[in-house]
Amino acid sequence: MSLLSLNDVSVAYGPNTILKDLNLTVEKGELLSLLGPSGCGKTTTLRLIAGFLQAKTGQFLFNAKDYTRLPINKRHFGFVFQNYALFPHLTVFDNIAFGLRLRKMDKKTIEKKIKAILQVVNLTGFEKRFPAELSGGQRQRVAIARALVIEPDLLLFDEPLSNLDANLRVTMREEIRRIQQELGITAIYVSHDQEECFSISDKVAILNHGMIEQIDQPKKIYRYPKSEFVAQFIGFKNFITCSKRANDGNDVVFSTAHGQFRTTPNADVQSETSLKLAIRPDDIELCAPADAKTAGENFLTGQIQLSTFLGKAYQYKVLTPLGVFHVNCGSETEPLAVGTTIHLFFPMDKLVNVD
Amino acid sequence: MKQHNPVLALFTILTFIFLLGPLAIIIVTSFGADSYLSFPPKSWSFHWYRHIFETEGFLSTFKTSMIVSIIGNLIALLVGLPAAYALSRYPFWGKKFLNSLFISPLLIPGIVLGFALLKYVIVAYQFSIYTGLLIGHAIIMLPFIIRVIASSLANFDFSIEEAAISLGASRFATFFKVVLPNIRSGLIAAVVLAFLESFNNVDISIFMTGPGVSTLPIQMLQYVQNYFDPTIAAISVLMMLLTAALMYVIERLMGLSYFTKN
Repeated sequence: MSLLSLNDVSVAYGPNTILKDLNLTVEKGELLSLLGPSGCGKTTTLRLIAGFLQAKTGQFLFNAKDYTRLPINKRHFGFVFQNYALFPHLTVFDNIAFGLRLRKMDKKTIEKKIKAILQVVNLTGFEKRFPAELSGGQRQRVAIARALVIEPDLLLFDEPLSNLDANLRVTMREEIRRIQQELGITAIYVSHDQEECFSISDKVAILNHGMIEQIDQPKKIYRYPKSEFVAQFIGFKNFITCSKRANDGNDVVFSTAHGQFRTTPNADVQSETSLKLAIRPDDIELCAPADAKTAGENFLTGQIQLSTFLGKAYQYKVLTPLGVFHVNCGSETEPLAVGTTIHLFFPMDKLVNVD
Repeated sequence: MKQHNPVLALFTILTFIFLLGPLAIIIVTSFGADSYLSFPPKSWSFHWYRHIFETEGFLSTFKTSMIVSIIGNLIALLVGLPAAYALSRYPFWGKKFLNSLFISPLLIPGIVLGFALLKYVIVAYQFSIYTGLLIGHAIIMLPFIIRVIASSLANFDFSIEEAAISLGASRFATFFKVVLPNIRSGLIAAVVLAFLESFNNVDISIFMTGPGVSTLPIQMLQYVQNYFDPTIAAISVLMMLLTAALMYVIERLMGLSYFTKN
């Protein structure tokens, strides 16, 4: 039995359906990320679990108990807000003590717990400061400490790092992961930053239009996106629509009007009827026209239409008979001129079959 | 380098004379020893200040004014605080209309409001003079309470309310532990402004007062109809002092809150 499960949950604001028959399970001690573009329903899902809003239909089970209609203040979950939501009129100590005092703990216990939690978030000595006297990263750590100190059954993060600058984001996400694992706490994390989600999660759920497109371990999603939407979202820019597929041993050969493409699909993820292939700009290779390794397969010729410098690479927009492809080439070599005819090779282990 | 524009300086001085001149004249006359208002007085005395306390009516109406302003303030607060909260916190149908309704006492001439209140409410329901005064004053204080509190709630981040609830606080506890402390200065400013509006009010009170019960401004009005001595100047000075003291309190609070905001 999972620690948390959402069963066929729907949420609607007036006539707008935000979540539609959503099913989700989280195991104890796991960090699950909800990832998706804005408006996909990830924050709504999180706020539903927190209790800030109610499901129209469906059921929310936590620890085998029905939480669907349980008021927020009875849920004993910790919530970390995007804007930290610290109490401006209280010191760091009083901010963190807020939840403990509501639980009628005695002074000694409160002081002990706060001392311990400040050590965990590396803020010892900041007890007497007010939120206005802290930096963004420090405020976020206070917010995390405040949510953690009540020893919640579940910790919820709503884009906690999006107000921090890039370097601090990386440090803070490592901190969050460390704290989560140190305390063995179950957590749900919402973000629109895929690198952030992939780096800290045990599992990632990708949402689109209020539905979960794919839920799996980060490395599996990264390698085998299930659908075109997921592939696009995590950086697959190139898609090939084929007309026919045929099995050839373990491989599947996809046919188009301009050549064949061979790949080994992952049967766990992909359907056996899909005719769509996807590949990242980084994975397409440039090759000589008569290269032996192509053997006439996984090969296209095109002309460079546009060259963009991305820092670590040049990105070429290449027009081929199968449409436009984006190809990244290392920036250490001289860029190729616009108009140059080039040959593209699609390694079969990088070509992914998506729905 | 500061540039001094002589025309601007002259203009500023004239404006201040225009605004503060009459007040200065009242202050000076209140210390005159003559039995009529004169400026400048020929001789000086504190006599008229003593006379305020010796004259029947001033002390008792001051008490009435205080009671009406304070209790009326509490009534306005009881209605206005939840109203301001709801208007700031939730989107709902008819919000704009309610917003204008709550400030309408500011837009309608006091005479009209006072007369309407007297004819259609006080007389119709046979309210006592005190009740009438309280109703009238609560109504004119309401716009100040709502507007000032609402503007301080406009800067309030309601997600800290959610934070408190997620930590286990009830809605009720959240309001008192998190919302109120953060709008404290706005709340005090609202109460003080409303108090001043009520304490100095003539146009509503004139309809609501009656035999035996009167407010200080009404008593002053009646006094000047009969006597023309500096007592009225002396009272005016005392009322100015009260107003100035309260404004100073607001200034300190609002000024301080400006610096403590992050």
